[in-house]
Amino acid sequence: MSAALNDKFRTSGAPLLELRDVSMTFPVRGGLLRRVRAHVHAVSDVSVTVRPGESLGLVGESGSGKSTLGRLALRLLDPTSGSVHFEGQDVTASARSRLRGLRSGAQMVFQDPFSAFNPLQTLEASVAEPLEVHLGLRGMDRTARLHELVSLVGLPSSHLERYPRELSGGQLQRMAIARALAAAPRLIILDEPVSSLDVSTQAQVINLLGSLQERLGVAYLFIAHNPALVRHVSDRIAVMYLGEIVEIGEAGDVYENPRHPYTHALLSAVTVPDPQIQRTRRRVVLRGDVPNPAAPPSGCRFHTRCPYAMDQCSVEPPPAFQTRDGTSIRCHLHTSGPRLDGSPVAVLGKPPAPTVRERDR
Amino acid sequence: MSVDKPGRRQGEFRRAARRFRRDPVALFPLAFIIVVAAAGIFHRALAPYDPSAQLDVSPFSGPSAEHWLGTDGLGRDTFSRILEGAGVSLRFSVLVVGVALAVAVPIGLLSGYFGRGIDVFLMRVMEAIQSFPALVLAIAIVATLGPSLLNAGIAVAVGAVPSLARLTRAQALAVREEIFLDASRAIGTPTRRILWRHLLPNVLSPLIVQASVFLGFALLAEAGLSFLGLGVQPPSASWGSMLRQATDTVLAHPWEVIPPGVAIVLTVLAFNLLGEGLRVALGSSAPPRRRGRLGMTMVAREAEPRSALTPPRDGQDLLVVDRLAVEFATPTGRVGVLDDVSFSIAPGETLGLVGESGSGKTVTSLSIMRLLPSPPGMITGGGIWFEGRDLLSLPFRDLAAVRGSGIAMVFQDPLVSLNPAMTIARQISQVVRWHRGASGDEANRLMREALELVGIPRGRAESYPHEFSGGMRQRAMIAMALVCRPRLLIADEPTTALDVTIQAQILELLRDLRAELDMAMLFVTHDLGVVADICQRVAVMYAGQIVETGDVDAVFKNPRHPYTSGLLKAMPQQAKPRSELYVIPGQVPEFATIKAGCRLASRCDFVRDTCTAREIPLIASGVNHLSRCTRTAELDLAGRS
Repeated sequence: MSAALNDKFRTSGAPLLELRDVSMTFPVRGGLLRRVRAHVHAVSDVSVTVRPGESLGLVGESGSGKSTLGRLALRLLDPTSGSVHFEGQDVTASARSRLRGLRSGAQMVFQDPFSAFNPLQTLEASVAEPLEVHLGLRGMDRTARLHELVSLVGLPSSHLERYPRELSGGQLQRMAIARALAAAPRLIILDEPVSSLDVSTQAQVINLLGSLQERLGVAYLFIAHNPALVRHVSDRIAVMYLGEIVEIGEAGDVYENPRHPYTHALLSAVTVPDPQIQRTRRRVVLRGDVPNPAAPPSGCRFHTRCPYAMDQCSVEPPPAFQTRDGTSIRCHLHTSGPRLDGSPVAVLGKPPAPTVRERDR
Repeated sequence: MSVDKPGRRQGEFRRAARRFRRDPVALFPLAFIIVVAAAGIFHRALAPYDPSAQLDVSPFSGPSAEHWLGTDGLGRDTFSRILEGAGVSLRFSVLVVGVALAVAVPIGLLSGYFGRGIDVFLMRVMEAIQSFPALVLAIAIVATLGPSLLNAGIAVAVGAVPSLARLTRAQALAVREEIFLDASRAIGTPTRRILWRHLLPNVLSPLIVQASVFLGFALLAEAGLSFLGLGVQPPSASWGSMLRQATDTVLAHPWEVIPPGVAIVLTVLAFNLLGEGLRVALGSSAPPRRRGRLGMTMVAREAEPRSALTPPRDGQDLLVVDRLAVEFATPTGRVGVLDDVSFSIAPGETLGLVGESGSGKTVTSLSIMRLLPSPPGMITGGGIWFEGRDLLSLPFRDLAAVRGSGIAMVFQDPLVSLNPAMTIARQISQVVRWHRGASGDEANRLMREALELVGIPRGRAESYPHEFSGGMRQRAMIAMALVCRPRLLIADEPTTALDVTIQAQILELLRDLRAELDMAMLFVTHDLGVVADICQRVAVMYAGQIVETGDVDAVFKNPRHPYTSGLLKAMPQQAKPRSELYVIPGQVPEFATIKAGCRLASRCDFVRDTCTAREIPLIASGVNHLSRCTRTAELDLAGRS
């Protein structure tokens, strides 16, 4: 596909996917009568858009709700509140049987390629599934398209006759990408697509994803826990903590000049394969664990671990703060206290002596 | 690590069929059942007499040349009746199990897949049926509908449905959580197709086993019902009705009960054995792992006499691994998985052992403490010295003393390594008691010290492992490893399962502890970033060999082996965003197919004929810097600037 088409995709204003104030809570049941004891707030009031042809990186740690958000976007889960729009259409209320537009327009690639395929089917049967379901392809057309797909992801056609266990993790993840591409989607949700792969295989898959985006103009929602990886593949980055997006903006801005203390700490924890840098860089090591999402902290959810926490942080949830370059941050530091007013957290220098804020449970 | 031979293309069921064909315990009953079935189907052609004809012979004649199994009270040929009965009994069993499966499987699938209301409703119905004893239920049904084989069949099938439905449901519940079902839902595949194409085939294995056992059960039920006069009606023969007639005259003519009785027993036994054979064939492909005798990796150093090995230099090194070789026993013969692995660790020093999956780094770390299971693992060459003692020739008692108190280990997944039924405090104090023979108070004091050392608050010591988060569990694991103050800690991917910020905490903790306790570390990881963070020296492993080793600064800045350089370039950390990352072409070779010479040769950009001509030794390429590359001196390799 031409670069011109690519540009058209990137500049067109209408979002491809839009989540508006989406929340997802899961009931926690317990006891003899399996009564609902609490609710896990996996995602809380998240609004985010993915534009056509762009790559939005979603980074966060376990329990941040990033995978839940991916599943909500595809309506694999029904949000507790809020709405999901795909290509301008509200797909929140659609019955599952009427989701065909979303289903063929948006696809997903999962973390573990070995469990993402039916072990009893050949890969041909698995990769052909979207072709049969959405395009009704049969016979020669089906075969031709299958061969086109596997060559697109750089595998020989003979691999189609194999069973999942006969391929390596990297090859299988390519097959998963081929399957996701089969029905020519406009959006692919990539849920930790390379975190189960070795470094050298990881690079192959990342390169493949990049070249496919260039050729096909498909948009990515790239979900990962490794900030360096997300930085490498994304145009924009959203950082999640305990079910909320705490910072979202252009990838370079977020990665080079983090404005939220959590982003700052997260990025300082990324290890770089350079012993000199590792020895000399300043780290912000967060104390304690991610709090229990069934009982998130009051006010700002990060205040229990934040090295810069102020009194108001435990009381008031911070509103979104917009900087001039379009980054949005949820942190009181930008409007009160040291008044960062859109500057990166690094200007505050060394954080006040970190105290262990381990909550007694 | 897998040392699978590149397998033939085949599905799970075909592989199961192959396993089945090799199993005499399964084949024999299958052959028997086929013979019985054939006899039943072709009984008209095979039977010497009409099974219902009253022959002109004396009743109860006993076995003879004309009547192999004798005749019954009405002068009918018993052998012919047994053949007819085989047909009746087997047809009945197959029909009953077929009908029961046809009803039970959809119920189980729907119940398991959809859950909630459907599940509750269907399962309550099943429970209601199950709350009746099966045979009483059958008698009640036959009593209501009248005695006939069909009604008996309905009765037995109804009794069989609940347990088959429950089995299907349990299996469906497990498969429902599989990612590939999510993948199909994400594709937009209609539910009917998901149930039919993905869920059903994956619940089939245990159902096939259960169906075989149920065939025997149905046969027995038919015999029982016919025996009671509720099944097959005269003059048709079935094994059950024959048995009934025979028991009327059992005191006068005991022989009569033998043929139908033996037929029933053997056929039911055959079904059960067939079920067992199917269970084995359809079960996991790997044979059960056995621990080596005494819990130590076997050592068989044939190739190299011990005297040829150089003992370590005095006092310089804490641990010396010298030319270690390990082989795995596979169905197709022994395969070398470690070759010429040598390194040493000085007191207080941290060595990183880095490599991709299948490189042999974990096999190496397990071999040091002789924790590699035998079979399949076996140390076939080399030596491992710890504080001057050869660990490979130590008796179990001495090795056990080194484990834990001299060398301790921390694994990737602490949840697996900790005992779920014991509090953290008890697990740690137990370690002290075993190794130090400490009293209760002493053990508690050391336990509290260790927990304090790793930053676990005092109030949480009495928690169980599942009450801890991943990071806290790894802290507990480290506390347990350090409680006896080992001189060497082997940490095998200790931060891989953790989040980035928790990884930072654990790395900081290990760095502090290392300084505080003057402890050496062997840090096994796949992450070069972590190596750069915590290690002083590094050994890079590829396909069972160390390919490069040296100080971290030298190796990262100025790698002397193409593989190390390739790994560094493949990492996104310092690459230009959205640029193409360097890719090492091809794949890691299978251990069984490794040829002589450089193991990277087929993937290397700099390969020459000399690379594959002979085995490549580690070649000095700088101060304390070794590389297993013939071209190490001439190549200009990229590292980290």
